[in-house]
Amino acid sequence: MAGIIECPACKTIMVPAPGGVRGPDACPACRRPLISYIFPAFYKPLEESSRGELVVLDSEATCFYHPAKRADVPCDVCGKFLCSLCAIDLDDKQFCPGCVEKSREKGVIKQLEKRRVLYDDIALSLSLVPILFWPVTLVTAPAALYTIIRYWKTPGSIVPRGKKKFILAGIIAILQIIAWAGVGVLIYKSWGQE
Amino acid sequence: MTADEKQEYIKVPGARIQLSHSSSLHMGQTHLLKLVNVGYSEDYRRYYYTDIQSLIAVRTSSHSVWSAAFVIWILTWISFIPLFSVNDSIARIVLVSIGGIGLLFLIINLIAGPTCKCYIRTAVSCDELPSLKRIRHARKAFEILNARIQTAQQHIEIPQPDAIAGVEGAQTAPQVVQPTSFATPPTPGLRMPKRAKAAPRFYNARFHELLLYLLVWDVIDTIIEFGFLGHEWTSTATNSAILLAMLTLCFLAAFKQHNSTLPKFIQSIPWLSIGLLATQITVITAYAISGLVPDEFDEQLLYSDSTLLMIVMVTTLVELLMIVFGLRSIFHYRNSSKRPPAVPAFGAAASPAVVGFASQGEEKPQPASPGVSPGMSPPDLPPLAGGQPPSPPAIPPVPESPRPDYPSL
Repeated sequence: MAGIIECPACKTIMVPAPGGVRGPDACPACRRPLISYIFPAFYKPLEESSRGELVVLDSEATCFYHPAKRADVPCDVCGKFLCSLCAIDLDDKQFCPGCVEKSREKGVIKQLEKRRVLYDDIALSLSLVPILFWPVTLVTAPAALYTIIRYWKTPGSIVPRGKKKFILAGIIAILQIIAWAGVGVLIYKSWGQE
Repeated sequence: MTADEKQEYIKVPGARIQLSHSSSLHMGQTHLLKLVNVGYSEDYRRYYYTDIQSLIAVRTSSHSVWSAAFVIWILTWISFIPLFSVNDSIARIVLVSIGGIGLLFLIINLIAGPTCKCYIRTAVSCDELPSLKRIRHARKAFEILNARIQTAQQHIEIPQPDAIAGVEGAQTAPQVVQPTSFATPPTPGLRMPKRAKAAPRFYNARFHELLLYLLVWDVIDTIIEFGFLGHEWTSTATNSAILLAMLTLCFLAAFKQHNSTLPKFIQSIPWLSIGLLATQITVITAYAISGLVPDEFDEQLLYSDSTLLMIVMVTTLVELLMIVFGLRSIFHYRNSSKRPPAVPAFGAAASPAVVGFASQGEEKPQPASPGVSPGMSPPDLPPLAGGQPPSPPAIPPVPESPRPDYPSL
């Protein structure tokens, strides 16, 4: 059996009867109630990982990273020959470890993305929070507008939520800039009258 | 963002929002996404449907703990109300409002239902799902995910029980519990199963008695105030002290009476006291807030107002009834009840004299002769020689163990 069921509270290991979807309703040891679902992967034995086949003939192509092992596939990005140990299957494409690392850094492969910066939240904060300390808005309003323009096309949250925050931040920042412009005009006029 | 990306994720019920971060779950085409929002960035963790082995939710006690905390919060703030005079309605409104915030949170907590911790297990990891904190959310989410995961794993064959039995000695491992039956129907709710209840223990209702004596003090204090002898400052201070002491004793009594042999009426005394206090404070506060207090009301003479006088008289009457019947029940209970039989020492048996109260003038048990137990039947008794009690069986002398010879250093 590949998997185990462990009571999260008392760490007692339970062996559920096979063939069911619902797991135990309570831990037999600490008697805490449980909701548990068990899926077919629970019964699936762990597969042995490939170690790559050794080169038998001199004419065989070898792995770029392991010269003693036979190449199975080329990398779909850089074309390096890879053995079955080095080839990484993502989105039905084969990648070498170097290309995976580069893709992760550049955000090319979506499955490898672990973090995203939320620029729309930053822009909204830049436009809203400084209102409490209003003289600061002279600087923060243009900064918010710059953030909106600079990162408008940058992917936001991986969960779709539109551009509402960018738009709201833009409106508030523009209003602040207009207000400061009005103050500037008034000061200029008062100087002219003097 | 492409059109496909927009449609990719569906939110799973449940979300957890904290001061520092928030988390939620989203269903994708091929995987479940755990999203943790920290400040201005989001962290992602993906669980592919084909890899998920199990989903487990275990009930926690946070729900009960928070409910108790909110109740204490409400009672604490309400207990400050008597510190202020009846005419000081602003202070009372402020205190009631602060207590009301606790009440609001209490109601929200009660509506949200019991709490739990959820875990997702794959072949190589077991992670918590912090967004599923309430059982109703966990149940909904699990039902949705179950359908999706079952579809994704339909190509995996589930082995029959015969094929699994005895594999790698899984059932013989020391920590492994015997297989649980899957034939049981799904649990309708995560109710705590009744544990094997311990036998009720004897409790002499000492805290209940103290609580009733405190009520006596409260009645005397009220009578002094009623007789216009009390000064405003001293009376409010005394009332507050009595109130806090009563609340403390109520909680102690309620704690001590748990799983005891106390009669139901005595067990209800703490709750009746809390109810009486809460009702009195609520009625007086409502009266003060309502603006019905006459303008010529003299704060030095608290009971110059007839309505207040009526409220206090009714409360005092109920207190007197509780005192009389409560003390009567406690003394009756003490006289009639017996302590649970103590575990007899080796060679001695429990007798009625052993289990009774020594203070009630009952006979103390006579020490039994060694080797003879009052509970033994005549055929079991050893033959007496010349009317003398049998001598205890001879204990063979323990041979003195030789001192080990330590090698010289």
